[in-house]
Amino acid sequence: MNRKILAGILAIGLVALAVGWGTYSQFSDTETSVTTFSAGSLDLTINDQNGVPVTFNWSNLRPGNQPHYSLTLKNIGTITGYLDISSIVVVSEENGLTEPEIEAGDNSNDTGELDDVLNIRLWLDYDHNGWWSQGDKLIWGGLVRDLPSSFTDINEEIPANGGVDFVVELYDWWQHGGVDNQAQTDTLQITFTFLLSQNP
Amino acid sequence: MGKKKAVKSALMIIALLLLIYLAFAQPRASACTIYLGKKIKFDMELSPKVPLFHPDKDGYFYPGSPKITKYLRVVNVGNLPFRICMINATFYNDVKLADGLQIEILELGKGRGEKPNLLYNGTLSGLGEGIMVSSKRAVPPKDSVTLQLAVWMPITAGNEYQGLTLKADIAITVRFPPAHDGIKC
Repeated sequence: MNRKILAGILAIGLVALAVGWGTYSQFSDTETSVTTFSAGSLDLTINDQNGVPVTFNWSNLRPGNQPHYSLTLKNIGTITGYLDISSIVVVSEENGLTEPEIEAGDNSNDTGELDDVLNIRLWLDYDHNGWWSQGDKLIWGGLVRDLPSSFTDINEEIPANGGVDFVVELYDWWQHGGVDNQAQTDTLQITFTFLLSQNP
Repeated sequence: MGKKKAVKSALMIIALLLLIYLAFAQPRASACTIYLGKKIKFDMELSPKVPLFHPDKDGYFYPGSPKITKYLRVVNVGNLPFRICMINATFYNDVKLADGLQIEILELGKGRGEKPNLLYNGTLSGLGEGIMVSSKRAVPPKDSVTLQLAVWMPITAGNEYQGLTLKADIAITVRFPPAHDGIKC
């Protein structure tokens, strides 16, 4: 008899457990939204090479020379960038003293004078003709010795896959008379480092 | 006689436990009762079904870029109410980008009076673990709730994220019963 009662109690307990379990159970459903996120990129090339500093070396110059060089700067990234020149380093070398230099009053054997007599002009060549013309964007013009060490306010907007031509020109080595002789045999090196950044 | 007492005590304890249980289980028991005798269909859909974010139409992220905001409707196409209980994401390709992106997910209210409910605000990668969310509204059948997802790249993000592309499957899980009761999703 007692066994029957115990079995009954056990059955009631099992039923209660089943009911409780069922009540606590739940339904759930999951759905997925597919998305793609991409970070933009800025990638500056100079004459189709990755953006390393560009160094110009000048030697054997004489009054009246007007060498100029054009660089094509491109943004091969995916977002618009703003171009600046983050660094300009000028190295003016004496390269030994000749008799005419000494006679012109040059007595320093460690500092060249080309930067004192040469003018330099930097511009963005919008018409791509390689020469300074109206409508181009002048960055700087003046004696090489006065050239600033950077230009962080150019802020030239270059869209993705866009580009701009940058020109370096030396000019106006005329007006210094006898002092020009001090620059004989001197050499000049200028290194430009460009920066393309996302904000102006 | 002793055995009878033991049986009586056991019965009393079981009865007491049942009473306590029924008292706490009341809301769920009633919810179940409503749908007894009906063919149960528990189903949810997300809208739109097209990819929510895509660089071709939204552009690219960059440090300090504006938030890109999208809306995702969670539609109840079944006949049981539900509540959003979990959001998680699975990442593919350049998964590192998930560390560089922030996401804010709001559950929008109905009408002007109801304020949005913040479900998550943190890195996109944080969704990879799956987060339990406290959704404000139970969504009845044939109704929907709208989620606002805003994604951006903080100004402090660095060059390490340049050019990365990430595919993310953002999964929304809903559950029935919709009551706030601490039951796991």
